Amino acid sequence: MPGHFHGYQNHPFHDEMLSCPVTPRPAARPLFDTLQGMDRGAISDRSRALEAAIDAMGITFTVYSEGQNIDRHWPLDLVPRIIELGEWQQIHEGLCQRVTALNHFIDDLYGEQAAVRDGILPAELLAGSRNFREPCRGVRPAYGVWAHICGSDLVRDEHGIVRVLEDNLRVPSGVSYMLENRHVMKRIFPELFANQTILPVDDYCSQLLDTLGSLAPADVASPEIVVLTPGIYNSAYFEHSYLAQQMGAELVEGRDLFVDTDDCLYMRTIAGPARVDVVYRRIDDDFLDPEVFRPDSTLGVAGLMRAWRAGNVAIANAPGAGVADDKVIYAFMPELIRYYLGESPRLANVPTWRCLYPDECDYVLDHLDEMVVKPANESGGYGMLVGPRSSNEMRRQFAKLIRSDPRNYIAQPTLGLSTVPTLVEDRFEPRHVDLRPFVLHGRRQHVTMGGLSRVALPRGSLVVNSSQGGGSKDTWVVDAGGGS
Amino acid sequence: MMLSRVGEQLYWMSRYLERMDNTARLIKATTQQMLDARHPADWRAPVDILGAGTLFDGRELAAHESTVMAFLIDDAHQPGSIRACVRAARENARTVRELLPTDVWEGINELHGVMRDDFGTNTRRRRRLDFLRHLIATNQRINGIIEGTLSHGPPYHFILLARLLERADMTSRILDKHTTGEVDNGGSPDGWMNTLHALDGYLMYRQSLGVGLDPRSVVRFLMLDPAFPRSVRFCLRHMGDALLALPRSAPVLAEVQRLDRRHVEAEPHRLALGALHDYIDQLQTELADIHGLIARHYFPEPLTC
Repeated sequence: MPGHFHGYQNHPFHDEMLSCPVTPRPAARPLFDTLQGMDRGAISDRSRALEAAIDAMGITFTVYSEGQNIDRHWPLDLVPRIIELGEWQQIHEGLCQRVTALNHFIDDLYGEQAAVRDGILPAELLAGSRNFREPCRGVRPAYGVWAHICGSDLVRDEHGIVRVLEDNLRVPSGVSYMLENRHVMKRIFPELFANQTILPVDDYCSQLLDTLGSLAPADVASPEIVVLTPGIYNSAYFEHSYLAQQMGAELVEGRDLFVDTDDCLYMRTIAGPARVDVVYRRIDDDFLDPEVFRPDSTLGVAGLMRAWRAGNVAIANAPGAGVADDKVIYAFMPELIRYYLGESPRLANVPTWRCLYPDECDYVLDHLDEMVVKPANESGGYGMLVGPRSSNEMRRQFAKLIRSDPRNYIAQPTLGLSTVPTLVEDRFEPRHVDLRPFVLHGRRQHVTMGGLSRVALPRGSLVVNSSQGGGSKDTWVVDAGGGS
Repeated sequence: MMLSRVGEQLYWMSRYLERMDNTARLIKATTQQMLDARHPADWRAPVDILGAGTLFDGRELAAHESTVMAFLIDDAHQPGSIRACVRAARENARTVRELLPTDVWEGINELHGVMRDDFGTNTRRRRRLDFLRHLIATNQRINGIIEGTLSHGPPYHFILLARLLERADMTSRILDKHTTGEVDNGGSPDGWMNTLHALDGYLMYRQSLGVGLDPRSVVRFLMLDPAFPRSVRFCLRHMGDALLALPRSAPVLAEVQRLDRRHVEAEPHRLALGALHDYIDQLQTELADIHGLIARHYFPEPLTC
């Protein structure tokens, strides 16, 4: 009974749902059977219901195009990505380990810099780091934790191995879409949720609130927490608003806040100034405080760094945490995990060549046509060279860029990302996916159950970013009886 | 406690929704009135009532049904058009949606969807009435959700304050159409009845007064009735209640109470039409002053850059 998956081409990649075109992996069996039991009309009915739900719920993202901000409907595919609980538990462990090491590392860099002293990290790497913030030297945030919210992107290669592609420690976004995707899917496939154990994701906001609350200055009994947004024109504004609402926190812009002569942070309310204890900021370091960083910033708050250094307010993620969000630093993560924790990494990196080292750089320059080259500090898939899809001219340009600033580039083999069946018009075709789980770290650690799965919609594409035509999938961690 | 900026955005969201609602009512009543008119109808009146006459003339538009309707409903560059009001309400709501019941945002989104899908088709009469009814009903649903599920804290009271201020202004504008003389012969019973219809006050007027439709009674009803929710008096009274529930409200409250007293003492229903027109002008100026006071007292300083 080949049904909808007749002719489905999952080779040469690892498909998350099907081990071969007619055999679902065990955790995906109920979904597979349900889809097979539906005719094309029923599937397009569900697909339309899904679109209508997204419209009614007002789930949008903003793209900046031709000088205008446009709200687009959030793209969610009908077919979820399924992970078996036992496997997820291993990933969970690996993420906790990684974020613990990342925080040790950041704390060390702004403290005694033991990793540099002990020769684990080359000193010139630190000197050339754009996200190392001198004004953060000597500060000790609560629990020695700097990155309180971390979104690490995971991919699965052709051999089925889950690897970390990058760590996002500045202002990782997407968690609101993870939560909204689940709300939509429960409306569309209620029977699947009733008949198997799909683990819930909806405690994220209370965990986030708990994490942020744990950062408040010690003498504060019930902390005032705010979400600091650059404003309505930011592409992630939907999420800022969503998280503030779900936590019952104030959503503030820089102009709502001020630091008084007592080095405490206040917000302007209709009843007068009110003290703020914790800032969940969704603006980059550069814009946080015009007294310390970019003087022309109108998004931040003059004096915020003063208040933070005095311990009068907590900032999440802490200023300077982005130093570990550097793709060159990423390449050192396996060594850093061993150095700080004395453990082997439980989650693998993608093999990475560091152009900083002449021998690795030569290798990259010789193999440009088969590698993905990334600058250290870009996000959203910008500024990359995808070797197999590049022209001679593009490779020549990149070779020049790499030679002029080798420290700023890394290269990785082109990965054969895993696929998930995705509704394309009225048939299911394999499309490449990644996964962004979110890790919270305050007094305790918490990992989302699964995360946001992003999918590259054009056939063969590996670009999953929603700003560049990517879509999303709900992620189901399914307890098929094999987990503990 | 509520942010000053949030107060400002809720205030504008609420004013624009109410303005959209009242404009829709006015267009609906005008359209229905025109169907009954014996003479070639004057479509210019609603443009003047809504204070958009100068802009309309500047565009050198003719006062035909289709141009006036396009101007009042669809014209994104006419700040009082229904399209512009819905957009402004939505832009303000977008930034404060985390404070509002989810259904309020969905309702405002629905208004936006209606405007998007019906672009340009509303100049035709048959579609227009259904369309306007849909807008008004959606806004009434939004108000109902706010009444039924938004806690009566500062956000609620800011929304209420703004809605009542806008409504007092719009009621006085709609009443003002009788005082300009030319419009529908000023004093015909049909005209006054239409005014009551525009404010959905016909039944309440009948129940309250039970008398014939004489202009003085209608003016008194719309200006001074203490119980009809769209009368100017009612709006001023309840603005006072909303302010009482807000922090630091004493100076604004004192001004509103002063205006309320003066309004009652002015006895607008005893004025000749010309004098009534001047009085309504003055009332609108005083309502604008109260807005200015609210803005200076509660809203953040305007951005200087």
